[in-house]
Amino acid sequence: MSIESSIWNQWYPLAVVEDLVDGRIYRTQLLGHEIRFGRDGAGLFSALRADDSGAPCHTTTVYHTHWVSLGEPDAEFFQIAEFDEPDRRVLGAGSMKVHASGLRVVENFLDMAHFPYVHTGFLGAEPYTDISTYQVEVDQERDEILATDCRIFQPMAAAGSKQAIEAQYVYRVTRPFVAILYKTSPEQPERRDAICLFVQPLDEQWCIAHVVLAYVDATSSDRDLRLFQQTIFSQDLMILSNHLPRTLPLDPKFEIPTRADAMSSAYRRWLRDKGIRYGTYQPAPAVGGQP
Amino acid sequence: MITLYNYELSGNCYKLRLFMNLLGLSFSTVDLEFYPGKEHKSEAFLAINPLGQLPVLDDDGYVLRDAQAILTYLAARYDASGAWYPVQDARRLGEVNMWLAFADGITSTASAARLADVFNYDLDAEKARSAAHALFRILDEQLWFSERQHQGWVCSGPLPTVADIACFPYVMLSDEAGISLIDYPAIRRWTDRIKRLPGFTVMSGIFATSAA
Amino acid sequence: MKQPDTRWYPVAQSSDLALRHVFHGQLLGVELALWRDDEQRVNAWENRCPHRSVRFTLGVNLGSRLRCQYHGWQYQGGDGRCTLIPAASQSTPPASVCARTFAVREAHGLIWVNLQAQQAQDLPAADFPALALPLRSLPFQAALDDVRQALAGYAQLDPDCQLDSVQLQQTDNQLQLSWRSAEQPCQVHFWLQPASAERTIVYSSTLAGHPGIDPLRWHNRILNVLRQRLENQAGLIATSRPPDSLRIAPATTARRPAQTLEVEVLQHWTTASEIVALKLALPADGGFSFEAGAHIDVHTPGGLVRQYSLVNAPDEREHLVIGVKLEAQSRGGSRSMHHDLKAGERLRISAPKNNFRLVPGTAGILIAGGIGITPLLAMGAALQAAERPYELHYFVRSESHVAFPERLHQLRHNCIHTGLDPQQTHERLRIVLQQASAGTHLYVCGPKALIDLVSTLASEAGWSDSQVHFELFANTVSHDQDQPFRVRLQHSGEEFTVAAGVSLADSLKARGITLDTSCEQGVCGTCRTAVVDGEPEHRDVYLTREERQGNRCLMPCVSRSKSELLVLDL
Repeated sequence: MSIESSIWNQWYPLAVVEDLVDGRIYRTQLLGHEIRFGRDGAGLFSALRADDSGAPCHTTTVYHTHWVSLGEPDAEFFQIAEFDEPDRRVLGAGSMKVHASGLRVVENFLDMAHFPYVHTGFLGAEPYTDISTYQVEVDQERDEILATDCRIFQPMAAAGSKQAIEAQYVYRVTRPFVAILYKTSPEQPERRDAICLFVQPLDEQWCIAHVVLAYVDATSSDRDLRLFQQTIFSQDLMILSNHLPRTLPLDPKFEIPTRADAMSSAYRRWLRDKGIRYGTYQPAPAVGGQP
Repeated sequence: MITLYNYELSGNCYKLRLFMNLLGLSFSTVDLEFYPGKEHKSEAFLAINPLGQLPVLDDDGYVLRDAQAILTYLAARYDASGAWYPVQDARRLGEVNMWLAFADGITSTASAARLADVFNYDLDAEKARSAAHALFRILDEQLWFSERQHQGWVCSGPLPTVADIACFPYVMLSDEAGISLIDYPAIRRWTDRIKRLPGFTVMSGIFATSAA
Repeated sequence: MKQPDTRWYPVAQSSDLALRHVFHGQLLGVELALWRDDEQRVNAWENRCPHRSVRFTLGVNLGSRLRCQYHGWQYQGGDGRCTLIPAASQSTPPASVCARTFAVREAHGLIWVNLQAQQAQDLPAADFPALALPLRSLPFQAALDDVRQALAGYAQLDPDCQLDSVQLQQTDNQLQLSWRSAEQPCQVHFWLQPASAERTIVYSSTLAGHPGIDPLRWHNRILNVLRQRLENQAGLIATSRPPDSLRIAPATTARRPAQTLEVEVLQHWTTASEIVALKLALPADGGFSFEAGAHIDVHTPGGLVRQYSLVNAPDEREHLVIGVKLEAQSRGGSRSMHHDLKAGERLRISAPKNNFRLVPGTAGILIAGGIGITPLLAMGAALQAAERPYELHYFVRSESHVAFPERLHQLRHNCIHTGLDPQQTHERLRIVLQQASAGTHLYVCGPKALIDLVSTLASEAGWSDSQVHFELFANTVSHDQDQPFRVRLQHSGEEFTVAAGVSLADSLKARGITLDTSCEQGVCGTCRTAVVDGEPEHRDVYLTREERQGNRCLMPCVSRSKSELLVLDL
């Protein structure tokens, strides 16, 4: 099966910077292909195809993450301005493997309506389940999707939160497998914390979710920040492990959205308009013999 | 004062968080970063548990490792009813310990497969899954007969024991290990029973059920 | 090409469907969620929530509903309709959101499913009867034919089996074995369930046989040995699992819940000054499941569609009761309901919808002005039945304006305020709101002036927004303030009017025009239709800004027209 160029020629994350030990060699998969990678004694990151070709892959290190491309990626990476701010805490939250298409993981990241049921007592709680109308816009120039004015009542919005708040969220999708959440910083409410989801598709049904934080927080320890993120992510993990199919259906009749799903509906439309098939559900053509 | 050396996503640590909630015991936690930080292998923690494993319990200076051992201590020490760990009844005590050992087998199989599937540990996940299925078949049979001849707990008798608590977490999280419970209907009904115990509390990946 | 399998198969034992449990099954590769509701009715659904395809078996059996774990969507037993979407809790879920249900029957101590049948079909007679004692069922990692073949040798695994006494009868998926075991007659009946191509479940039953032997354990042990041998022989490690083979049941277009139905007016009487009450019969083949606060759309004899709240008490489900106030400026809606209807005539209505719900587990203060009493009567009755603390405050012009007095008298905590002027009403309400205990919720229905007044007073008294509920006869995409408009279809030249209160999509469908719809809320994009002329009034969230400004297309499920005429490329 050949992979469409819009997927093939992308950058994909392999590891968060602090998770690698210099001098060690690691193995993983990307888009169904075996990869060997690592950082040498001098700290230089490299990766190559672990098949017959042994061909080297394009690599780059940005946003605290080592990225690789199997194809010919765009020269320009998407911008996340928060990483340039010198007082930011930048750290990986711990990468986790998920038995689902990376597109499902991105869509789950963009959704708030599940907070009261999956992140009960943390990011949401009954009866504060109604999702008020928010705005979704596709930035045609940058080819990104933005959801703004997202609000929800949160009993415990972050590590170290002492009281419930109405959280304000902004969601941004920059690539099919990349999404960023901006939420009001509890410490400096005029600024926003950024939680980056960089997804590495191992194949169409498995992925690794690399989560990188760029926080305005002078008090919490690394461990506390990571622990909170891991608690939240692993609550989603059981749900993500139970999609039937694991791949993302793009047919709006197969899975029915509601108005609260405006962002995920825009995401699926964006993928459809790009002709993306990798990681999506392609039903077998209906034959007379099937019930 | 009870202190639990704890990691939020560890099923073994959850056994104790759950049990202490069922007993109504208050406790504090010292949270270690099992992943990716491997704090359980740090020098500081090895001094507490040379096996480098979580959980460890510190009850006012009395320190114990191993989730199953800690369950038996907590039950013997704090459960006035004596039902959770029946030290007075030799046969039932033996039975409970037999299933505590079985629970340890669940850890080395189902939990291992989960470490591979979620935390990307390099181990033979397929082998671990196969071995877990063999154990789940046995557990399903035990629970099916227990539903009919007793009250549907892992051991005989009308009430749950620490064996139920020890077996529960990695069974409940088995989807994350690529192990479906579709072949084990008695196990699935038993998990509802555990969730309905007064004082039941969840961990990430486990959800509460309706009252019955 | 394989013909679809139209047979009934066992998928679980009756005893497997425990109280408030969701059973995980599979038949011919399709995963099933089986659950028994509090009325003992068994539901067999495809194990997939129609929202984001998360397994229903991860969800919760609430007794009358199945709740999906992901977003808390709730589905009712029977037809599988979604009845609650918490992210839009004050709206009625679209009829399109429905679990994929399968025909199910309960007989011989087993649950039977037919993936092809319509619900009305009956279970055919079994080839061999089930025997008195059901045994433990057992899943085999093997194909059905292999399992059936292996089971033929079951008797021989009994060490006391007299080999020449073995008698076997079998059909496609049933076997009956009898033999003599140390002079005792033994008989076992097997039913086989093809869960998937590689997995078969064996249900067995026996006559109580061997004295001194526990038949449950005895047979379980033999079946285990048989399974072990079969799985080893097939080269399978007994506990390995074949790869994830996925089979999704395609959506069924048959049997979608009806949008509207015709009902008979059983009774039509005057219940108060200017208010008539109607009792409407429900069809014989099934009532509705709805909660206090629900309303129905009524196609009035005058031709307009109006919403009326249901007055029904919680146990009152054989008929529907509504109250209709004669509006002074009636355009024909309420006027026709008053003057042009009588008992014995028929009326077209929708299924109940609910945009005004009680918050479960809380106390309630109900405030009604005039005809607004109707949903609050239902709510008062529901709170009283649930033994929740409540107060009902009914503001009316005079005694003669009190509607449904017989129902009011049934409510212990009701208070009627007659003939108060605005100042007195203000003061009365202020006291009521101030004296409320924490955690109480407020429900208001009545004229706009009353709603505005309560809203202000509640805010002043420190009530949080989330505790105050007003009856709105619409969801966020309201059809209430709609203007009718004309539509012309480009291809046929056909022209018609879309009435206020009816969506463009429904109008098109009512005229037999094929239109694909899905979410019915303007978010999924399925129903997108090209516009040739006219100015659409966009109410969707799917189109880009450019597409909306371009006015070359619209979403007929929610959008309407700004211009008097809209020409569609249909």
